[in-house]
Amino acid sequence: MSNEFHAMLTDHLPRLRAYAIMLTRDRSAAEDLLQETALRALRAQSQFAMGTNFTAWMYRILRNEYISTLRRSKRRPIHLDDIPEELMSRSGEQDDKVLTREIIQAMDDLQSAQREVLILICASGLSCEEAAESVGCSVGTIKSRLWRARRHMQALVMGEDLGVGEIATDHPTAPSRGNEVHAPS
Amino acid sequence: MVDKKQQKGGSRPAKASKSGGGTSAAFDTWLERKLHEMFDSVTAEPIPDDLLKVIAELDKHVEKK
Repeated sequence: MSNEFHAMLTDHLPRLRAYAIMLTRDRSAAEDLLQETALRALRAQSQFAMGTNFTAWMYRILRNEYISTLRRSKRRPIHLDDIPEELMSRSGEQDDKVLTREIIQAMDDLQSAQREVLILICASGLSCEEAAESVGCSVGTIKSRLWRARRHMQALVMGEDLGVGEIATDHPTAPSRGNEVHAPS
Repeated sequence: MVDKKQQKGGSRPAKASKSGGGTSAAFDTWLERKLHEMFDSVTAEPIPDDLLKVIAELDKHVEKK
């Protein structure tokens, strides 16, 4: 492996691990997912064009691996008690923990495509362009999903009806269909 | 306007008024801080040694092929 590729992969591991934990809500599953992602990236490194967006490329590989894992394992729904303490609150204040729990619970009530865009942009800090590349859809679609996700979260967390329509839910951990892109193999 | 407690991502932002718009922006800021805080708490952790070893092994294995 080229030193540059290796350095980029290593630099991205903490972010990819956090993304994996937010997707799986399970540390052990997240480590497995990260390992598979690294393997796929290493195998596909010749397909990566230096100078293009490595972050979006890695997030796309992880996302596709996550979707494949879900399809293979039919994993059980995650309960709130399974959420790692580290995702709850750093401050340890009870009020903060309750609020964080409410946020996580509200995210479970979103459509998976909306939940995904919140994780990619609001939590991970990806740009709309990077999120679009990772998910395999247009920037406009990402912006629309983000706006809807925020309004639904506002309705769920604040109890405010902002007129964004019914919140259609699906399986709490299932990715949306039809927007998967091909992971490098 | 987001107060100091909201800036830390701790307390709930103010409820929207009938017209909504301005407070939606405050909610968005608060939500982003909160989610980012959750994400950062994990990225701050060191990558487990076991995982780094496995990735190094994978690296060698892929290089050989």
